[in-house]
Amino acid sequence: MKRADLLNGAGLLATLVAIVFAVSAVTGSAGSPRQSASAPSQYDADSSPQSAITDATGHPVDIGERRRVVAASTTAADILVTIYERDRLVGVPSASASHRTRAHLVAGLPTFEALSDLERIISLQPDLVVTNGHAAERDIARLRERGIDVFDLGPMAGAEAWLGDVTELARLLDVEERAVAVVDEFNAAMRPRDQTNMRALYIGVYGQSLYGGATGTSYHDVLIAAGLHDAAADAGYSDWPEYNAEEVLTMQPDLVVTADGMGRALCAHPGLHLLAACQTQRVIELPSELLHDPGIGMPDAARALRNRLQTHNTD
Amino acid sequence: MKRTYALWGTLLLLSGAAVAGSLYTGAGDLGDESLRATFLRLRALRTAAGFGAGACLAVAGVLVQALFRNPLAGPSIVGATAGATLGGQLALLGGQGLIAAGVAARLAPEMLVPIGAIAGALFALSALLLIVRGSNDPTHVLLAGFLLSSLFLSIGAFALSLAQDTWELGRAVLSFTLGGVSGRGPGHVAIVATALSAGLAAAMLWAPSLDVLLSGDDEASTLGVDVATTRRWGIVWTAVLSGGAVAVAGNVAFVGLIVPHAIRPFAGVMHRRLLPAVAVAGGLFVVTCDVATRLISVKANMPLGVITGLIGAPLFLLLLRRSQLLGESHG
Amino acid sequence: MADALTLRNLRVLRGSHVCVHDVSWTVEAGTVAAVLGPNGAGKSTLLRGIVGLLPAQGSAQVLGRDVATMSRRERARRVAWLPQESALRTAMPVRDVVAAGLFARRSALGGLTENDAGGVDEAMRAVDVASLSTRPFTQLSGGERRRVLLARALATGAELLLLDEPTAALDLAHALRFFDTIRELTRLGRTVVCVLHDLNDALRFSDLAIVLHHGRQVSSGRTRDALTDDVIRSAWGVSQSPDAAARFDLLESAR
Repeated sequence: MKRADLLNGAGLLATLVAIVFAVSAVTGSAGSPRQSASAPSQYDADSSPQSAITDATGHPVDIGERRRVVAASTTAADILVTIYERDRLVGVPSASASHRTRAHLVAGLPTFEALSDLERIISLQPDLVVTNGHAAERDIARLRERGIDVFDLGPMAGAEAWLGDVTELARLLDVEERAVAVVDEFNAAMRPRDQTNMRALYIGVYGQSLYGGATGTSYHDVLIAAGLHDAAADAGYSDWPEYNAEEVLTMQPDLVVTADGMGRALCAHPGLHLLAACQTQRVIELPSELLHDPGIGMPDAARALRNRLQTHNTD
Repeated sequence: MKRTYALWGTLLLLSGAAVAGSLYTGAGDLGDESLRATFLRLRALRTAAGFGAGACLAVAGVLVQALFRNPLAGPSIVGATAGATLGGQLALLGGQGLIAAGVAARLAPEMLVPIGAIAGALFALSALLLIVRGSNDPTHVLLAGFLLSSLFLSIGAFALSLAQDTWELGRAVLSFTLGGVSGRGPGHVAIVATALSAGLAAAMLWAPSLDVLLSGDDEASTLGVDVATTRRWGIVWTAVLSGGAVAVAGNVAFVGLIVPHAIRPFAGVMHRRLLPAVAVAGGLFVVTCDVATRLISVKANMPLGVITGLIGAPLFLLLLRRSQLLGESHG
Repeated sequence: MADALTLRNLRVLRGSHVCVHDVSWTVEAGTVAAVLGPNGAGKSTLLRGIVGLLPAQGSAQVLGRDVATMSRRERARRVAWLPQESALRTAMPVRDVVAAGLFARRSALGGLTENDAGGVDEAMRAVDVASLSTRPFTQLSGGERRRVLLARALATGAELLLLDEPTAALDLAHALRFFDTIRELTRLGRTVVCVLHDLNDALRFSDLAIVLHHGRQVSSGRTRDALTDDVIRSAWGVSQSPDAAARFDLLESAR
């Protein structure tokens, strides 16, 4: 018994140690060619700080033109078709190709499901892959091991973050001047006008779950751009909170913005029939493709919301 | 007899405290007079839904533990929990489309998920009965239930991955999968109350058979128990109870396994005494855990199923230790 | 006296395999009958076939009624079966275990009537387990468990008791007391059929016997007539040792 304990314990310990060694050995050997491959650029980066940009994962990526770019997120695809040559785009996510209003911009380009579809992406032979936040680090690491530049824009967090993405990507591709016009146009479209005193709240309704979008989200920015106050931001919420009915009732918004088809479910949610917005029918449904667009679609969403507000007010 | 009074006194006292705590705890401010009644009503509905779901799961747990004479059995082993969960997930996925298309125009939108869950539970039940048709071997039932559960879980995981396309929908499907009673309405309470009263009444009627069944199929059969029929209906009522619970509270872990074990030392093993006590204790457990979810985090909602699991697993180990020390095994 | 149990060409099957072949045997009411045979002879299987736990062909009649035509509850009221070992692993109080014997006499809704409760008490007294009434079944010794299960069989009120090695776990004193009890029962008109291992016990306590070997009936009749030297030699494969012969003689003279 005692001996069996000792033997098995030692075996277990040895296994654990072996795993640690194996992992460090493998990652070490995988890391070295990557480092040697990017060594010149790092050297350049040291001598001239302008020659590389650090992405959201903390990884430096060389500035310079690219011939074969894969957009691994819809946001990246939206930015790339706006600021770069379309014929240098060699792959987009299938979600971009099936987008209701912007599919034509990427029509005919090869598609894939997600960044995790590594073989498909590698077979497109890109020299740059642009992605957005939610990508798994191990997928990015596999691509970098193959010498492919991967630039991670980081999470999408509203208008400011999106403008930062545009500027950064333009710098990376050495076409900074093209970003200026895009940024100006976006800012002009998102500038609040017809300012009202109405306190509005974005709510998405899924079953019994209520989801919001407050400071640092496109939902917040769209409400502001439409001349509304964001009741969630005023109440101290940020990012994408999950609400319960009590919290929504406490905020008492004058108006609720939701996606098409959800208004009825919202006011049928236990307790929410008491919401002023439900009683005065100030629940505005926007097409979900506009409402949920965290990037280039925000001005369109704001415009649609303004229009709906006007028809509501003239009613 | 004295012990029975003590048990019921404790259960009712604790339940009263848990209900009071549940009415008192929440994100809304009860000082706001215009909203106080609304907040209390919302909390009362949520409490009732949680209590009903907990009671359903605990009663279902007693049923399966007796039917299969297996102390480690929980209501999920007959596959109805997984079926109901999958049904709810699919209803969430397809629900938006149905509402938008006006298919569900007559239906309260909040009832789509419960209806999906009930349909899922019934589907799972039919599949199980079809697979084990004619067989009286409990092992066949357990194997079939396990296979069905695995199948439903895989499909559910696929549904979850599909839902990731819309970030909020993905959150909603996951949140349903992890269980919760926030935002439940009268419709939900009606569903769980119906499932509970029907299931508990049926279990009480079957109780003498279940008592005798603890002696095994052969002895029970010679003592006059129709073992096959008892087991078949026991499975059906387990499915009704667990389907009803999942329909209103999503997938709440551990309740059906742990509550019967916690109550047996006090209520005994005879089912007519055990079942009502277990029902109240199950409700008490879930309401308490639901209050805990509200206390732990006001903004990032802690899933109910995670709390019941976090409390349930250590408690189960404790009970297991205790019963080992006593040299008892509860069937 | 009427026949309590009549078997005609009874075959008992496990799956498609015939385990007991064409047994024909009659047990008169109010007697103690022993089912004898070496290990694997089919003794337990025969009892299971009679009580309906295994499929059987031919006929088994209890007090003139064919068991196969009885409803489950009626059969439970007429025939009680005590297995070699109970599958009960639950800390059920002894009194509730014994009361399970009344299952077939109660309606779906009914609890115990006073009459029923009296029957339970009586059964517990008969096998000396009244003092264990509130003890959990799982905390009893092997001998106590057997007596509790026997009390459950008695509580059914069945005219015919099928007992599978009822004295296997009992010490000498309790075994003797047990045989006294079943003798007492037969005086009250019940009939006891038990599987026994010990031939001395069979000779001493049973009126009738059947000897099985490889699932076939070797002999039957009054115990002394059924257990001849030839039968013992062919069924158990032993020739009587002088010692065994001496024991038999001793028993004979003791009768």
